[in-house]
Amino acid sequence: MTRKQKILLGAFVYLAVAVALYVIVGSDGKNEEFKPQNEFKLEPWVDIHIAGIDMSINKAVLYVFLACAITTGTMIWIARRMQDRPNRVQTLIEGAYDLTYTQIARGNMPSATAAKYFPFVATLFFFIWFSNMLGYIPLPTNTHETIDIFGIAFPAFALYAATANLSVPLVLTLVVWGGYQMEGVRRHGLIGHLKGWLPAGVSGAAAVPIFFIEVISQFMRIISLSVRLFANILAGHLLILFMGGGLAVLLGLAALGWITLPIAIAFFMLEVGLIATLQAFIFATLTSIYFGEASAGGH
Amino acid sequence: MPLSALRYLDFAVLLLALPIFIAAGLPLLGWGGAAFGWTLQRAVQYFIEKRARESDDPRVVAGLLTASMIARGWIVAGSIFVVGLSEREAGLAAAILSITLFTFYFTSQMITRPFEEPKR
Repeated sequence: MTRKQKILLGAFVYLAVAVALYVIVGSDGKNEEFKPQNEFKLEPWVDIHIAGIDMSINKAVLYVFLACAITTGTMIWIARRMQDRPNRVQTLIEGAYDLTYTQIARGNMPSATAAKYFPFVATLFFFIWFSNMLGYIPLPTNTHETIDIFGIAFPAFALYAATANLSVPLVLTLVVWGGYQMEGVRRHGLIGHLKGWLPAGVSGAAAVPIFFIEVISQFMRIISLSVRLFANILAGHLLILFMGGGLAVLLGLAALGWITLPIAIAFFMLEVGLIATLQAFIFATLTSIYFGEASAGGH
Repeated sequence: MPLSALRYLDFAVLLLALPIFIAAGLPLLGWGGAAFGWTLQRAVQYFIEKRARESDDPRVVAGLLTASMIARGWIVAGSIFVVGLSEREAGLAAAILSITLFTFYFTSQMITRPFEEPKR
């Protein structure tokens, strides 16, 4: 049998099973009880209101704490076990160090700036990476749906990530944005830093509209940096949720689950194997570029 | 706990779940369905990964591992589905137990993977 015939046969069996399932099980009709948006609903677990600001502990806060604890715990644990003849874990960590230092920091910042801001950039990279990875482990954090065991209502399992909530990438972005603006002002003074926003060679009357475009572009960085991370992680979670059974439950079509499950697995592999690391890498690289640009004095 | 034991943490959780199912009066069919599906997919994983290790062609290895992951997902989902068709409550119990097992399996894999010796 040729490869083409094998693929066609596989596709035929795949669809035939879906049709057979539909004929055997049929449809339960649209499920009105299942609300996919509840997966991302943040219910306050511990109510805290300070000066009218809601600072309640909820699922997102727990994920931030977990990501912080895992990032610091892992790094301290590894740092204390460094040895002259590296084992496999140390080799991996040294590879990650090389990636963050050589590729991300040194590759985009002057060496003095890289030496100064490398710990910040590396911390961002590892925090986002651990936070993203944590988001692919189902954890009992859905208090909206509960499982009753021994009369105790345990929260249902859910996929969630701190980075899938806009607040977390936005705060990280604001720290980066404020940080590199301060670095620019410290190095070149306020006027020198603002002058640095203009591309080289622009002078005279053309400088005014271009400066305003650059002002807008500076503020757009807050949106682009935060939304890129948030939207990628949220989209991945939604795809896994819907393809992994959410769509079949919502439409009451078990046969659809047979078709969408491999797609969910493929998305899960893509997210864990690529997107989680890629998004952390992009965020840290752009941070380095912005700091490098600010310290070098513009474009 | 030695790292090699951590690799089989999911089976320890599966065994630990049995007395909880009995004591809490949860449907045993749910435990049986989840246990069958989970054990079968782990066996499939073992044999396919063994076959993949024997191959020198990266395309064959990637194909085998991808097919293994999709097949294992279907095995677990299929066992939950079949149990759920016969008894809805048992299906729900099987689904929750399977997700719990996945959580422990995936976490232990992430911890132990960096310590594993390169496969020859």
